[in-house]
Amino acid sequence: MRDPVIQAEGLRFTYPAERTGAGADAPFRLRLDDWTVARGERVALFGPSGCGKSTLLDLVAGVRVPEAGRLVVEGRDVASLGVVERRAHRIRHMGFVFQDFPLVDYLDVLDNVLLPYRLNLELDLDADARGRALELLERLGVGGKSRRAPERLSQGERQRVAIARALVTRPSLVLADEPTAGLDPDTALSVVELLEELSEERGLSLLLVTHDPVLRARFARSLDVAACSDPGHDEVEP
Amino acid sequence: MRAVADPLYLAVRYLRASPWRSLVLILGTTVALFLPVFTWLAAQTLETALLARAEASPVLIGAKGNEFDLTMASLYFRGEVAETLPYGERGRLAAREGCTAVPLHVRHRAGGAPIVGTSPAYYRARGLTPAEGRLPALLGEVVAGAEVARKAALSPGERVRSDMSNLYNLAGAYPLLLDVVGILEPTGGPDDDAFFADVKTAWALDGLFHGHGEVTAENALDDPDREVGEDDHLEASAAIFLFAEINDRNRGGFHFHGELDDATLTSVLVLPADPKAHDLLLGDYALSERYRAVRPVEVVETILDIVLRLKDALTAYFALVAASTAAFFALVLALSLRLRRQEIRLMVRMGASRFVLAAVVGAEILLVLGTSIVLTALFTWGGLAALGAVLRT
Repeated sequence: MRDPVIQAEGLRFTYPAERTGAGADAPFRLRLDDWTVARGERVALFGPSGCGKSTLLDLVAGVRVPEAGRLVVEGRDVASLGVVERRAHRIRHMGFVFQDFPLVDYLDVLDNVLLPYRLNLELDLDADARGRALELLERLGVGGKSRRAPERLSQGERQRVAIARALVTRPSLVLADEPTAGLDPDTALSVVELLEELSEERGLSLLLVTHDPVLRARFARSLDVAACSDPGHDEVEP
Repeated sequence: MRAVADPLYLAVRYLRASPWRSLVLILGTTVALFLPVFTWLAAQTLETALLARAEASPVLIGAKGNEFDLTMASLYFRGEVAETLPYGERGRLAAREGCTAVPLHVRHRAGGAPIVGTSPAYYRARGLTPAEGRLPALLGEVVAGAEVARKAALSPGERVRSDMSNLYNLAGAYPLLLDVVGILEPTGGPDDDAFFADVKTAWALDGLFHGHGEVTAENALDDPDREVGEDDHLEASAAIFLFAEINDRNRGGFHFHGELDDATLTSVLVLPADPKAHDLLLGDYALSERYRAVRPVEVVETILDIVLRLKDALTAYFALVAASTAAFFALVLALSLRLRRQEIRLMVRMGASRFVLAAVVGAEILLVLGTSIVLTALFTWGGLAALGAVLRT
């Protein structure tokens, strides 16, 4: 097996009942005893709403910290890192694509792609970064729209811009949280194909959350997160 | 550098994306800042301007009457006094030990600006020096204040005509052409908006000091064809030609019928040399039946007392306006942050630290506040300039 990007052993994470969705009377628990993602591997995460898919992405990203077990991402045990180190680790190795809020509406396309540089002093916003952003936009078919406002893009184009933003910092791991939700089937398929192509081209590992069984079927590996968590909850509040 | 530049860049983009919201925030904050700042500074300006002038004018001697009118006419050249005092009183004041007595005659105007009849002592007392030309030395000469000269584009060598005092008074004095011999340095006070002349020139404008054509038989009304003998008495009539200007040719012919001491003044500005002379002067005039001594500082402080009470009331009111605007500002900010929760979540996932998030939001607040402060400064500057102009006129 290629070298692992993610290794989880005896991973435990719990939300108290009062922080879970409405009507919950028991805490939410996520368990992942032995799970590994190799470099360049693409894994689909699926399961019903509230089963912990986004929470698992948050744990991998270091936004949340497991309460027990080991979660090693790109060679670093997330639980052993402080807040600042986790943030730096995230910036260095990961890119994100979100479903619910793909782009910042008051920034144009190019500024959206370069947003990670504006938010992190560790990243140099130099000519290379700009060139890379424009090249990615070109590669993703929205090169001529770099100065356009997000509201003037189609949903598919917005997700392409979001993918460009996830890749502009040259991450080794892309975390995509339902990037195709709300898209029509053709557009959703084209977005996933694009992610697959880029993953293949650049040797990226990809964790993609999806409810769509057709899209899930395209992935060689998938993880039923519901099987790893206590069932019966709505979406967990952040 | 980037720690400032990047949050600022994002803040500018955010504010530009919602121009109306930003405008309302900026204008609301500007109004909340401007009202108390301007009120306080305007009251300070008024206080400083009025008090400085009053403190530089220790005592005014005038006829008994309204001390407010006397102060306004003598210090700020506004309005007129109902009762005058004779020039002879100035002589008595000048004769007092340790007192400089400056005559003030404020009744006439040229182009709407007051013509102040006075003596050279006035220029020394007020520290007035010519920026161009010289001070008036002869009858019919005036020196223009800086602002009045600027407005009328006057320069030394030009002439100004005094305004008709009373159009319907056929017996009244006619306007006279006066020589502008100098322009005063600006002072920022009422002296900038007035003409100054010798007090005799002011009396010439009154018609008391006058010049006319030779009284000959041709000018006599009773019978121009009558043979006139050497001993015959001729009486000048209304047909006599009165000079409408004072120039080098006719200046020597101007004369005064009667006693100079009976000519009238608005007031006499007295500059006592020491507190003793000051107190004696006030004591003497406290007993006078016809004249009074007024301390302009006391009159101005009475006016300012009203202004300051108004300022206190307005300050309390504007503090409430500022508090409500601050609450409004906080509410808009809170709602805005709530609406931007997803955006902030996105930024956190992309690695934004709390410091960066605070810097982005802080930059937005600073931009709104900074713009409001700049606008407040501009409006205050404009308001104070307008107030200065109002104070001068």
